[in-house]
Amino acid sequence: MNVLAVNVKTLYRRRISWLWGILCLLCSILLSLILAYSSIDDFVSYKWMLASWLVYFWLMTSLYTGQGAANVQIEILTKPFSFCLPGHKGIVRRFIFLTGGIFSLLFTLPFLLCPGLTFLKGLTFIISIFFATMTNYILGALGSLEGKRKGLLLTLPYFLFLFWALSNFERILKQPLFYSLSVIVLGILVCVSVWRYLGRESLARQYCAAKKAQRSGRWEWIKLSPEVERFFIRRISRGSYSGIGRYIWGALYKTLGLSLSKWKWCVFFVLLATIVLGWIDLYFANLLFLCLGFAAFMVRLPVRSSMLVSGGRKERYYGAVGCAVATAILVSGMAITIVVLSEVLSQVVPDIRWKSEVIAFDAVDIRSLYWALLVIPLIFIAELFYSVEPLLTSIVVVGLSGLLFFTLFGTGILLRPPHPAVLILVVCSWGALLLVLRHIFKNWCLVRQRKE
Amino acid sequence: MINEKAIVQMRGVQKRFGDIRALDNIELDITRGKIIGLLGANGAGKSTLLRHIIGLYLADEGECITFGTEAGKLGPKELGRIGYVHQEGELLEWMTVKQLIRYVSAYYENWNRELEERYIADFDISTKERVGSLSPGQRQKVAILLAIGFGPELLILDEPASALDPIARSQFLDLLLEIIQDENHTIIISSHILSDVEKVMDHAVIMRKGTILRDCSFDSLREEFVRATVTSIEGKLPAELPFENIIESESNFSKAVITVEKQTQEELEAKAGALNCEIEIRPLVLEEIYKIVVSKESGVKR
Repeated sequence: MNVLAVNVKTLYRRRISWLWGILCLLCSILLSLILAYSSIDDFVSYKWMLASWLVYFWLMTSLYTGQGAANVQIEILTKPFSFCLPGHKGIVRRFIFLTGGIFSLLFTLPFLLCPGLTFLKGLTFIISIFFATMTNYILGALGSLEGKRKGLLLTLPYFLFLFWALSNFERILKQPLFYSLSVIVLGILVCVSVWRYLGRESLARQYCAAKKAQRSGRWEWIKLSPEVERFFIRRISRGSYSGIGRYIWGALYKTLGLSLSKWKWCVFFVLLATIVLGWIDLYFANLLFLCLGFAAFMVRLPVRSSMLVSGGRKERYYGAVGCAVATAILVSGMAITIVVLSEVLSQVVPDIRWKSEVIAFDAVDIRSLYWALLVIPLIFIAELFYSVEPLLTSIVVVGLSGLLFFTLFGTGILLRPPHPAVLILVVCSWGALLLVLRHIFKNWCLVRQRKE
Repeated sequence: MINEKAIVQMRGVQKRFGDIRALDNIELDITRGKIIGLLGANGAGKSTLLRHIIGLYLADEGECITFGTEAGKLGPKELGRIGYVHQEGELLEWMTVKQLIRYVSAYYENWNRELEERYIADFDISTKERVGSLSPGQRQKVAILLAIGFGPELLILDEPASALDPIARSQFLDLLLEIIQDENHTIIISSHILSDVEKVMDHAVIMRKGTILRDCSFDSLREEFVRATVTSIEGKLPAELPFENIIESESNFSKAVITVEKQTQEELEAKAGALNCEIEIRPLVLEEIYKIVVSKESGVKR
């Protein structure tokens, strides 16, 4: 068996890959059905809401798939022995491009069913769809391979583009159809440059025996602020020895200490979000609350840890609950700041006129904050149950977000005042989180069994 | 039966991970003032057993009582008396060593700053470095400091010295002996480096496939197995040596090396005298004893 085949084997041996594959296949079939029963004009003119969202879902899915494929390679590369395996150094790009090629082809196939296209138009359209998916996939892979810092720089503009795409679907969807050639050329350029970039000698050396934490370089460029440390240590030390309070402070410090040290980044994010959201369509600006809700995905509740301090299961339980509540408070605080800032700015920022369009700076609507509060506990629950399989958690989150997007945009519920039923759902989701945590701390092992 | 002197009592503890039986009907009492060596191959269940003691794992059946409290319900009062060094070496990667020490010490009222400073100097720990950038040996040193800094009554060490260099290992063993000077302290140490454990332990628990094969004092274990070199003074040794409970035997014309169990020195000397042989008796090292116990219980012929 050749080296590439062995690498591909690591993919299909994982249950998660199968689940992911099935999810993609289902979406592909759904897309095929829609395309078979609609005209391409209907499709690109935004008449088919579901189809448009499927395309958006695919954009995100391809990005995730790219990340997943790169993560598999990183996992192999970090094992010291792989550095010495004959013929392995060049396998990274071959693996990533092979997986990406198959994935993009899967996405392209439904478009073969597009009715009303001439042969030539149809062909260029299909190829452009292929390259658009491939580009998307490769950006995901590159983002993962380059670690958090460079990856963020690489993918942030792209995410901003995706965000912008939300309110410009029609324009986006028309690109492969009307500007097929430009999309193909751009796609080829991206593929060739990334192929060459991934072929560099230093790639294997960069990852050889690197630990996961070192790879992400998280703590290399962010330092724990002395003020944050002092704040928490004082509260941990002052609490009564057997009291719960010190363990809640301890859990907050452990979980959010580093993030709170990055407060400058938070301020930057709040300002950037205010400016971006103020300018884009008000309807989509409300997505802010959902995005903030999904920020909970970045927080790991302190549940499983073999580092022993004097807190038992009960103390750990309250610590985890404290972290979940603190996350919700932080998220709400950020959202409220953005709303207040946008309200102030909307009074002073003048309208911009460009051609015949008038772009006004609108205040962000606070009414949708409850979406964030609904999503946060659900994400934590997903994380807790699937903490062993981060990718599976991603799938659940993607599925959940897809479902939410369909509900929100299909029903226009996002702009309506909070329905009592939704508020009940918020309470239920928090209740569910508390029950799940209680169950875990009462019955689960709090440290993973090491595979020897 | 409840042993009132025991600080840890395990009664019929069973634990499964899927199809694997990690612990099978474990009965164990741990009493104060001892260094207990927990020995066993990979997957024998040592770490699983230790994690039950501090309530990180919960038994499927049976009970584990630590300091008089069910392990799953241990609180600050009991856990504040237990130090634990775990084999994964999980620490907060993003903190510097100094920050990590400050974080952990904040939980304990009786943190010993003097011991901390001495340990840092003796073990040459750089406190300014990020925990995530430490070498495995340095991480292990930090983990040990965090576990001993508050003078725990029960110190649980799960593979604590595997990444330490020989000098640090020797310092570490000296440290254990210093800790155990206080008869109120108990240490449970699980390690693959049997030559190290042998130097400090006074009680042995040998595990295999989730069961305890032996739970006895190290002295009695050492007395149980001896190796004797029997040399005939005149001529050839008989084909069948009259010693009882021979586990291993190797012989040539006039000399035989035998490993026997449950035989006193006097009995062996008397039988050698009757054969008109000289006998030289020496105790076995822990590694040899361990191999014999495990192979005997698993029915492997040596």
